Amino acid sequence: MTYLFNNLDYILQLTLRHFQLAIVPVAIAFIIAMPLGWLINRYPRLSGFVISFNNILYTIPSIALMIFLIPLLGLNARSVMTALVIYSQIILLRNIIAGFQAIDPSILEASRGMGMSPFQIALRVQIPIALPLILAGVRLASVISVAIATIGAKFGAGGLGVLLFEGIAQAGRMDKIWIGAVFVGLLAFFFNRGILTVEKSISGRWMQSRQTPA
Amino acid sequence: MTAIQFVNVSKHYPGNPVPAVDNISLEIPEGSIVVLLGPSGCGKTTLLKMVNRLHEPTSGKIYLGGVDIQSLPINQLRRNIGYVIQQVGLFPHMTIAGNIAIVPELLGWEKKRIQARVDELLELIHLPIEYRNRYPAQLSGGQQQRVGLARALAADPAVMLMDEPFGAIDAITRANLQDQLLELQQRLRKTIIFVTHDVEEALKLADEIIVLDKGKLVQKDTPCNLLAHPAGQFVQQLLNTDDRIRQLSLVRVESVMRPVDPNFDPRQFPCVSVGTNLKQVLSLMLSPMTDCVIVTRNNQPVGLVTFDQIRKVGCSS
Repeated sequence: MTYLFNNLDYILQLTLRHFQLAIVPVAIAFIIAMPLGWLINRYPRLSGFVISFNNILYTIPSIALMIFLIPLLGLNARSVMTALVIYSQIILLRNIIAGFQAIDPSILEASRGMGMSPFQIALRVQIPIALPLILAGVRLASVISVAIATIGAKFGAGGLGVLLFEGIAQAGRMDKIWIGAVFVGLLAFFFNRGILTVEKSISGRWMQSRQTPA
Repeated sequence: MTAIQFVNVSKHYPGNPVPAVDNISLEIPEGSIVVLLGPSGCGKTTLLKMVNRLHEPTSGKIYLGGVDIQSLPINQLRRNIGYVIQQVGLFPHMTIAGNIAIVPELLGWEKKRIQARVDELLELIHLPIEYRNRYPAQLSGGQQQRVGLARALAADPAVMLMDEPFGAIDAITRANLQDQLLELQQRLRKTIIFVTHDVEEALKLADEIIVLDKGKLVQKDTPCNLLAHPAGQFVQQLLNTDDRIRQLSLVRVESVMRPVDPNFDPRQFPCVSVGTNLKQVLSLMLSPMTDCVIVTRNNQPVGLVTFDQIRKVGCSS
């Protein structure tokens, strides 16, 4: 406990760094996965290859993936974040595709028949309807990202993993381990809560209205 | 005035020796309801969808108001055609007002005009104005399809394409919706291509029926003429043309009635108003048993019909 009070600044600095490490890759992965997911939904023949490739990547343990990237990107935050982009992208892609596929095809047929362009259909119909599932994917990817980012400390990327690994190396520094673990947990919890709130407010009345027939 | 013209239109799907649509040429007059009728797989839906280019013909041309539909930008074409499908396809994440307003928005109407149009359409389809802000999930199937109709009518297109729109609806509501469509058509006079496999629906709604079989046009005629002069066994069996009683349902009483003597006392006989069809009159003659029925307009007797007259009726238009 004394460690916490004496080093609050340092701990918060690490937390902020951890936050960065976790969220930037998710954002990047999102920007990649959204158009990719939309394309795969539209041209199902692509899906076979991309999804199998993704599934293979997912089976590679996170540490192994990061180590694999070191000779390519260096022993630094870049390898860590690239690995995180790959992981987040796998989860996001799954949820985005699921979100788009859950849309009743008659809705898409009606929008085409009415004269909406593919872009308009994506923006005004597909994305709003798929949003709950997509956001759930973002939430999942974020939480996993927070967890995996912890390992990043081993590669010199910083973050709360530093505390954990220091605590382990310095025999008997249970307080560091505790603080590190708790703060990682808190960060994950707030990510989850935060995005959940966004999910609830965006889903809007139309989802709730499904339970209340006129 | 021809609203829609098909010239030698065919649709071949690769790997299939039989074409889905086989060299069809026909003209659809403005302001009429034309029904494409036939069994599953006859090509009626494929033919319909070629008008708004959801399917493209492998050969032949289609003209809308004299203009080759291939020469128009595809979305501009579609925004000027109303499209109603069986599963409705309302956007669940938008309100009823939002759904109806889609095409006007795509066409760039100002907000006030769109608002007014939505209210006007809600009235047209007999939905209370409060429903503006409801969501599709809160409406019944019949109500949803009425909204689907309103959505298709929103930009006031001259042409409407309807693909088995009442197929997924219960029989009672379906009859209601068919009546509403006829009522709307009286007011709006749209050119409507209506696809169905339901013979009764076709006979009830159509100004002209186009019978299709395996991609080929078999017969194109008014309901009456189809029943009276079917072109071959296929049409005979499809429409069950031997059913004389059904043919009576297509004839209105005022077309066969005899003038009534003004001194005649109408109270001893059952009465029907103008517009009633002969099948209903026959039904009245069977119970209570009577040989004569009075026809009234605004509660004034204007004619009478006898059983013998009905027996002599063929289906003439």
